[in-house]
Amino acid sequence: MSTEAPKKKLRRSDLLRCFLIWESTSESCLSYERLMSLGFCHAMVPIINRLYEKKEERAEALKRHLTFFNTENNWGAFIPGMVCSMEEDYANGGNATPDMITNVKLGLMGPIAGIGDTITQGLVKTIALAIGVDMAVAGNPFGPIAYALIFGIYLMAMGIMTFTQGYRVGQKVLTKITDPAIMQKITNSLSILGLTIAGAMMVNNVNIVTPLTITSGETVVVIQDLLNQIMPGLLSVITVTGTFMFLKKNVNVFKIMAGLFGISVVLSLVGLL
Amino acid sequence: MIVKALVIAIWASMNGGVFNEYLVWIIRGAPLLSGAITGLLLGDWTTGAIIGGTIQLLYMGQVTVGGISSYDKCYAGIIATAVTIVSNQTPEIGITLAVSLGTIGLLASNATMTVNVAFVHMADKYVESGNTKRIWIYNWLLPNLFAVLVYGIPAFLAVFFGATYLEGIMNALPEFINKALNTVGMVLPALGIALMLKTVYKPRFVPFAMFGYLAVAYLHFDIIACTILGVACAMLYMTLNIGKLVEGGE
Repeated sequence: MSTEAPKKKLRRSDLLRCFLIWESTSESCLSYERLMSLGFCHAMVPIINRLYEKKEERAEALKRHLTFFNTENNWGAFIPGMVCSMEEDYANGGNATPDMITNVKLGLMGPIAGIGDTITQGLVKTIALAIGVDMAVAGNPFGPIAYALIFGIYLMAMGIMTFTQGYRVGQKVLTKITDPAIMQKITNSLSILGLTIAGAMMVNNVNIVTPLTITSGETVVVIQDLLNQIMPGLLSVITVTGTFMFLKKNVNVFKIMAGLFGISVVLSLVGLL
Repeated sequence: MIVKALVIAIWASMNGGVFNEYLVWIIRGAPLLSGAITGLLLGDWTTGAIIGGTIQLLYMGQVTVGGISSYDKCYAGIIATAVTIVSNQTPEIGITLAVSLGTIGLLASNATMTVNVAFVHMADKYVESGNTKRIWIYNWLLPNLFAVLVYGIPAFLAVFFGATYLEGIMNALPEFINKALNTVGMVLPALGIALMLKTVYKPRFVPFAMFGYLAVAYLHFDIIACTILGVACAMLYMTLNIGKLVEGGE
């Protein structure tokens, strides 16, 4: 760690603002392309402003948090919490690296969403609603309020707890690791995890199918069934890898998006997609 | 009536977009509560609660994953309740309205998630400058303004002229618009995943992406199972010291 620069520390108020932005706008700009990415980036603004002075550093950090992101945002508050500690460590020349930050986000968002969606929506909300609906349909005006209280308190408590825990766990882990060789291995391990998840998401989050059928005489051939026999999710995999190739060649993202948009519209009009 | 329609239009816009994530989680996700508040705005909390609660029964236990839902919660909860109340209908009619409006409303959520792509790209451009001041505009203001268009205005029309009027307009929209929006929604996630892939890409670890694909496409693992697989691979890499064999191979 460099000694000449004074240590950049996040203040409690920065963390609080990060949490509040997360709690209030994380899905405001939910988009098909990158889901919660801009919400995450927005929440990191107070952190980035505190930690990085130079415009270039800020731009770099902001771009890092504009990548695809999706999770259940109550349990998922763990992730911005943890990322805060990692950004802090990175800004101070510690062990954390941008790759690591991205991989941690990627590795955690899926499982946390899985657990969070099941417990928050499947369990807690269903119970709170069952109580509320029962009262309301019987004409009791407190039904909706009962639901709002149970669910509202649960959501806030969960958010605060996971966010603080995320920050603490991140700090603890990062300060304990001192050997750069071990750090390199951890980065690589995270990269392995990140790529595994990315491979899984090609099928899980992209679902490109064609409605095309060919009728010859009596038999109807469903093209999608044929494609599935070759490889499940074939069209999705082709589209993702194709897009990825263009990105690797540093083709402007906006052009790629416009292209995909145009192709989709045309193909849907002619009935291919 | 025009005041009522305006109030409901504002209320629907707030919930159709996400004016506040925490509140939207509690309110929009539950017709029971969103209906009750809609009732309150129209002067009768309890009726709103009964209608909302009845509509709620229809959607109990529904889990929204990745922002994809089988109905639009704002249309089904807020607009349906509002129309039911102003037209003095029974909660049972409310359910029928919720089903048809909830389905029509998918057009609005589709459009929102498509148009939001443009705002994210505007943010992409903006952050190049290293400034952070205006990010809230792209993340919060513009999406919420768009919500006025696809939630607020329809809500106004529905309350002012009645639900059949709104359904008439929506059904008059050419089918291909809806179809094209659906296709765009189907294709665009590929760009998101590709962008993500670019950030984690290391040539020598590509086989692990294939493992992830195999696990889901052929073995039908869910995402938690995939994570366990990924962690196992990562741990093997650590303990077997494979790093030594390929170090400098990049």
